[in-house]
Amino acid sequence: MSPIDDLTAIRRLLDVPPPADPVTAAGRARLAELIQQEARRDRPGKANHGWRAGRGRRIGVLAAAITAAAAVAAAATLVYPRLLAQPSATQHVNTLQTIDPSLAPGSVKQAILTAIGGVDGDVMHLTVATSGGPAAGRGVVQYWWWPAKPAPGQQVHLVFFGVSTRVGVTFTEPASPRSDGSPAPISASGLFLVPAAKSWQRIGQYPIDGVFTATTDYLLDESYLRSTYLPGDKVVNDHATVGGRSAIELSNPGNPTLSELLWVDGQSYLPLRMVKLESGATNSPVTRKVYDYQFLPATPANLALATLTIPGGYRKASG
Amino acid sequence: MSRGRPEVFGELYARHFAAVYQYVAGRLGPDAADDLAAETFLAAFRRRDRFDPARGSVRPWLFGMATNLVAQHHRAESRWYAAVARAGSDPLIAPSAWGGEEERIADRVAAAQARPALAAALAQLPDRDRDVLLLVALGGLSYAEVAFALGIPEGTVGSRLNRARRKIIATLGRDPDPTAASADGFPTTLRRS
Repeated sequence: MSPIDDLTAIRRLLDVPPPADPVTAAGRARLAELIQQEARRDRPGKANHGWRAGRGRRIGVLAAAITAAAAVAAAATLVYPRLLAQPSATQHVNTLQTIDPSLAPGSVKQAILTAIGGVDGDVMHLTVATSGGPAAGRGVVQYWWWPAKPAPGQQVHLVFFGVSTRVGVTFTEPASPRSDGSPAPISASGLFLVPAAKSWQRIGQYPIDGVFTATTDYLLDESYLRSTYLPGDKVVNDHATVGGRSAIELSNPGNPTLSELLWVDGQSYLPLRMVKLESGATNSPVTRKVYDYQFLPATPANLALATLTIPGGYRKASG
Repeated sequence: MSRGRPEVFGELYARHFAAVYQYVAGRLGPDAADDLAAETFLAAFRRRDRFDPARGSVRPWLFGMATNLVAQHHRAESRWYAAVARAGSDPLIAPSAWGGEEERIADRVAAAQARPALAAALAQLPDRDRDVLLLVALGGLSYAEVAFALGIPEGTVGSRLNRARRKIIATLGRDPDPTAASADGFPTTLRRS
């Protein structure tokens, strides 16, 4: 039994040094700037309001909040072209020349649904690049996933390259979701590598609770696509080139506060790229997430990408 | 304290920023706290009209706002707990980095041994239970202050805290969970309530 109580243990576990002076100064400067902006907005002779200054003030705050939210949404929409120019080129084209012109709107939808139904045995490579927003969330992570669309009971291999960690996981695809529709729990075994420490660790069995659905495979879920990007027959938003490939642009009309677009390949109709702009916390910078998808044939070389091995020179981690 | 002058926030900032920062950093890590602790005060400044001193003091009000911001960074919190679990030798978060010599050696050893299991247990708590637990453990808030911060009854604070503490205490008696060694938010065992 631990000689220290639980609250003390938590305090020691999560204790961090006080903020460095530059951090404190930066926050103070941002606050001072905000205060000055507000002071400039106040007209001469305007009554000085208290913290609970009444209905008019509260309505003003509400209006400002609504305006700010609308501004964020508008800005997110307006900045698409600029945002999409990085990290790899996505250019809008105002022509249907690169897409089969015979396809009726309903056919595009059906072509997409048919395409995602045909990737079962492929290796899916997903790169997620996050920029803007809080520093802790920025960076590029990659997944290799095989089979891309596993059947219940099938063994799944997944490799994840994070900012500081590489993980290889094997698990059995669950038979069905829970009765409430949430993903069934998965028991996985994994290999964890920490390149900075040149260390590895194997984990026998541990629970994973729905993380995969949230991060990778939901674009391959027909019911998800039908309820988001493909709600009706008229699904095409625009046409573009993504990474040099002809692409069809789809929007998610059911998600007005989270600006996002999806491009599917103009020939294969499989997902190519998804971009999400998240406004996040009040006054925080917009977080931009770019999801780039590749579907690779299950050749020995590609299958090897979905299996993690211990590199030479690595030692077993203690603990 | 004058309620009518926005510059009063300068005083609030000076008085509470370090505590809010350390609370946020405890839940998300120092990098995220750099931004979010400041965001807490910006949000508070914008919502200062809603503050009612008759219901509670400024400190829990700020912690409540910080908790709301933390809730929007679920994955960062998961990543941080995973990092904490495997970072017993990390000079940034090792107790010795900022002078823990007053700690008894046995306590420090016990804390180090419990680190992975404790971090994993925290990650697995429902959000609302973890909020209450960490407002008490890191923020040092009383039941009444937590109730004010989160806008919930005091009785609910008590039940959530008891439930969370039972799980943590049970964890302290178990072997460490090595899955907490995963990083970068993958695979996460953090559960939404």
